[in-house]
Amino acid sequence: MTRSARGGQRVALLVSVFVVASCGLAYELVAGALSSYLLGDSVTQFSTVIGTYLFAMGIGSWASKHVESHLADRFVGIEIAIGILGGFTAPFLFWVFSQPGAPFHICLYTCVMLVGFLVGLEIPLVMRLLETETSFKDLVSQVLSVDYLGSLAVSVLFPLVLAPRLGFVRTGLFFGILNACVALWAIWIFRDRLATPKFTTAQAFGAIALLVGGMVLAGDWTNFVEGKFYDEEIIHSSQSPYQRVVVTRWRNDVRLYLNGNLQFSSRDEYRYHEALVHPILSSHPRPLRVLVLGGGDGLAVREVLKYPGVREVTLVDLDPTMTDLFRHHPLLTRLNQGSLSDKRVTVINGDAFQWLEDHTDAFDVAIVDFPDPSNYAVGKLYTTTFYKILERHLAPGGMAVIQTTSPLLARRSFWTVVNTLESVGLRTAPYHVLVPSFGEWGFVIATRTVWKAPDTIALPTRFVTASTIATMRQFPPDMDRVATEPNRLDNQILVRTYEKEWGPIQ
Amino acid sequence: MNRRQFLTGAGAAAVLAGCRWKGVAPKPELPPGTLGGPDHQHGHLLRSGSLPEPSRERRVGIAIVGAGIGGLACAWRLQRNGVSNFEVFELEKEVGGNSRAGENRVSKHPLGAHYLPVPPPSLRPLRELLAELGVLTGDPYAERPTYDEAYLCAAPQERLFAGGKWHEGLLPESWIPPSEREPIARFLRRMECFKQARGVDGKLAFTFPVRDSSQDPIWTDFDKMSFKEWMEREGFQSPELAAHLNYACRDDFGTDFGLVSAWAGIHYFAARRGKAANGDDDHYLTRPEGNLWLANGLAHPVRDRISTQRLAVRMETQNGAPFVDFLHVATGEVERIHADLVVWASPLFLLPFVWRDMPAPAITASKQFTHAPWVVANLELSRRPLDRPGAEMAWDNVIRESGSLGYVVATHQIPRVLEGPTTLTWYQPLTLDDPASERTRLLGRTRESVAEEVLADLEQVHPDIRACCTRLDVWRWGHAMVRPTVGFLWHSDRRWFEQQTGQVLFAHSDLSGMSLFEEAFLHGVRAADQIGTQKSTIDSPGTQGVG
Repeated sequence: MTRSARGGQRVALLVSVFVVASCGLAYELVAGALSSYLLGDSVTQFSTVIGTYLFAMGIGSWASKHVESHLADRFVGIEIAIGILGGFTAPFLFWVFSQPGAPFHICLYTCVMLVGFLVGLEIPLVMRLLETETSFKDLVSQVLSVDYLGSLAVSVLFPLVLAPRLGFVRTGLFFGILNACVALWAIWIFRDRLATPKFTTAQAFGAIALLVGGMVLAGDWTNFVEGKFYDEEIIHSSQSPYQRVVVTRWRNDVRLYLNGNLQFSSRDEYRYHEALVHPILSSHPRPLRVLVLGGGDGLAVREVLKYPGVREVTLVDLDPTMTDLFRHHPLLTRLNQGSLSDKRVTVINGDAFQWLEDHTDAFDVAIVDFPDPSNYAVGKLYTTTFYKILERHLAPGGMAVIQTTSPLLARRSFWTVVNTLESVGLRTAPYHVLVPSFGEWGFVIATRTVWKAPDTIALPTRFVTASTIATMRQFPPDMDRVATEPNRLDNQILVRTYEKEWGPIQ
Repeated sequence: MNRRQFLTGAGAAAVLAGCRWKGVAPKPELPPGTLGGPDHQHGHLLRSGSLPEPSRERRVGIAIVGAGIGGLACAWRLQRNGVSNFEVFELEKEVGGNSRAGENRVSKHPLGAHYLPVPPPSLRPLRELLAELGVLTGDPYAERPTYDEAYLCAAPQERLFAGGKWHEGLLPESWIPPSEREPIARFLRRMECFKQARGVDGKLAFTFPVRDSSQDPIWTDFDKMSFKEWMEREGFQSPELAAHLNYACRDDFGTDFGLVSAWAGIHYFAARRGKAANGDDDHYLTRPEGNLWLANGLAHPVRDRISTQRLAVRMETQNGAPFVDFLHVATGEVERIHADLVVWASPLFLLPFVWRDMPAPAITASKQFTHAPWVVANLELSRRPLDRPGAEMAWDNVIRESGSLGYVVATHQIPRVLEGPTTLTWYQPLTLDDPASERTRLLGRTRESVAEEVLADLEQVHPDIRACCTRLDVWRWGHAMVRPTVGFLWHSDRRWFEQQTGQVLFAHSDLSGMSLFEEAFLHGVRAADQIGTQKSTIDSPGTQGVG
């Protein structure tokens, strides 16, 4: 071979190292991200996956000394194997997770070990393939720097482009295809050194075909598997910067899950949303301006809009994915009766705390429908500081209602919210309602003067009437009031209480 | 193909030298940032001695040298007492001393002091300041006043990284081995006893200001041994407690607990008695800008009486009246200020270089002060970094196995649900060697070498810190805080400066041997009040030109 031909071969091999390094990192990231998504606790998942992977690479590198002949054949074989294994890891793991009782952890770490082992073999083999014509110091510097560059490329692309655009399954398959292409390229480069070039080429093409097929079917696959997971038909699933949003349907029951937690079931959400909205709105003599915090599904807004006197509704919800979905998806707009597109409604996507601080608007009624206080970030929305700011946004005669977790399962948490509201000088009217898919659920109305329940609900409702309100305000002994400290930013006792009460149940 | 060809071949990708993976990567690029610190260059001018003669002179009633907390508190109190013929001179461009702050694209952040424990009612002037600033509402002298919740440090306040996990609190139950719980509980009970303890003189054994503490030798003798020795002598056998006490001493005094006086160590735990109606006992106030809000609160009413960039180069008594020569560091001009009284509110170690007729005992006394050097780094992060498992990010985040003190989160007090970009303020007292050697080494260091050390330290807990750190500003404090070493507080000549006689008064936390806001503030207030009582003797016409 001439000098320049050898040079060309070297560039080609270094380019393959770049691609191979990208693929190696991609499999690692896909496995880490997928297990974080499915199991939660991303730090643990990432550390254990990366640790296992690097360890397996070490074994692979060590084992490379046992490859003594047919270096080119072995290299091509390994590339094909990595392509298939790495590419199909994500769909395989998804499927395993959906099988009840399947050993997900074992499968996860086995896949990671296998792929890591093979990736660990790659670089030593490439170095040996290049060894003959380069000094050791140049060799190490070139191969390793290209290796790291490949890693960098993927580590940037993965969170920015690949995971959001392609999803984990397609990203894995995509890199599988790249690996198989490297195999093809290597076949061409080493065509005069391979034992069975035709058979190997067929293998590489076969692998590419399999992986491309996987890409085409990936969407259906994810739906199929998530369907198993949720046991219902998935009609929407997406990943927003804040949460995983999944909407399911089973017969005529539509359900919304955020990060796997049920938000509503269309069979009984009317109980929740009627109870949230009607007692307060019917008790206000003239509600013109209404503020809804949280509640991006538009279901509370739907109830609010039933009051013809309401002129403006301002909805502040963090996640545009949620509000867009509930503004456009036909099944969901049927459920919220297009409330988010109503001309009286202004949708703002932002941090409720910040929005209240930055604005001075006053409202007749404020409906506070935040997630439960399960961490310190959300817990801030249940503090004296927050309620003082909220109070400043209430017009004269204005009132607020707050969804307040379950007074039965989280009794102390419920009354902590009531006590917190009272500690900033507000009067409270706590009540509760049975929502079958949630259980016994609590709400608190907060006002500046004593709240007077409405005499009638002048609208057609399925659940809330003047007499149900009277019942809702009765607290039997197992949910009865307990004395607690107010929840302040500096103690956040509610988050600790809530964790204690819900921790054993979830 | 040679190396150059290869690099060209790799194209633009090769420029991205920031690539790191698997540990043997090329040296990564650092985020941009600045290297700052007090003006030590002009400070060092004093030693060279070649300074121009004054080209102008004028007279003021009271010249306050230094606009740190001591000087500002003195000015603020004089103003409140109805005295107006004073002027404050400060070397730096900004007032506040150790309480100064910086700002990046995300937030303000401290450069030094960053919190104030809620004061007990006995610290009346401090309560008055907080009421004046609107941070304390209702009766300022109440046992449990109500504080603005934006200032009370929000939960979660502290966490400790140990054994690969974050634990809530600094002595976390989830980390402390069961065998060490008994000595730790005993230690904490003992500190509660010390809170109540009094000497035969009826005074509290450990209180603010330090000088009001009991002089009973039964208590002051704790000064004769180190905190570490005391702990061992008392049989508190617990490596975790030892680590915590060492952390506490390095945090408050910039000195290892093997060198810190046991009296000072106990003072840290037993002198704070503040309570709040809407916060836990011994809670503390903090803001993104650290303690700058306090410095600004003191400075605001007297802002037109503060001259900055003025270095005191010469102080002397002439015909029974003192004068101070100030070098205007921007113009190089020297101005002589004749005063009836001078309040020296600057570090005491500078005095021998400035004070020409310094009394011999004062020279001896000033030599006993040593100061700890510190490094503070502020990291601007584009997002929350990946975190190790365990407790959520708190205000104060301490890494058990680290030479640093960990970091505080400058954006912690900003009430937001979204945890977006943030600023971490990383602290490290330099305690491996003696302060002078550490200081020399520190002044020779580049921002890059410090930044590299900061990132390596934080990588233990935030593996992707380099990826989200968009700016890293380093601040060097050559003389960050006075060191209350064994024997210094009660058995040295330190107390010469407390006499406050003659025409030079002193108002600096150095006097207390502890660099604490309360001490600096109370020295400033005390100097002002003393001037008030002498007011008849100094009721001069005020500021007027004489030259």
